[in-house]
Amino acid sequence: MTDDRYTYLKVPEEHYYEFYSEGPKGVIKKVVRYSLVEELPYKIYNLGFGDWDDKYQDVDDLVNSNNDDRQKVLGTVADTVIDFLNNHPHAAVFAKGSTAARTRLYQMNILAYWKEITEASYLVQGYLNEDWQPFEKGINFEAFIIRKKF
Amino acid sequence: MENHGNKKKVQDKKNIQQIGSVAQYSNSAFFKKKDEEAKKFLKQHPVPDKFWQ
Repeated sequence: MTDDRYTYLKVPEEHYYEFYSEGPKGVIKKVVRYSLVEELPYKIYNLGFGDWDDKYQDVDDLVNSNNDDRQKVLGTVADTVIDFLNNHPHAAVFAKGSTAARTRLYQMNILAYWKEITEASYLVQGYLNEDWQPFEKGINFEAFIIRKKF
Repeated sequence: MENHGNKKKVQDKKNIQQIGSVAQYSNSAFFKKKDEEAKKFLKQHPVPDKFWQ
């Protein structure tokens, strides 16, 4: 992985991370949250990610901030996934974008770090055609799940 | 490998700061909606046992 990342803040007990995107559109607060959505037989946390909207005091993941730092932002989100799984080694992270385009962004991010993911012993599966299957390049999945190998 | 691990830990400490308040996120309608959608999806499409083996 490259070192081009934003520094993030985190609240471990609440599974929140936040960082600030910096670019032509200014400084934009990004929020990542891992929420427990399944507990048995194994814990699965849902990855939520988006821009913080001060006006509405909520997160929005439909906005396209165009801050010329997409890779840096996605790399930072990937760092939070790794940090979260390091702290929850027996859990899995589920990711599904709000739109097909957003899900493809997640997929591009997985591809960008595929070598590191496999070398670091992570297991990734994608959902497509009514089935979960091992992640493969060139296939557009509907959702993803990732965990560390036990 | 060990040196790499130590280096990574140092880097992690450098990059990670902890913050104390999450009140502004805890009531997020966006996150609640996302979680409900994820629960529904996983109920309809459960992760197979082989994923965990």
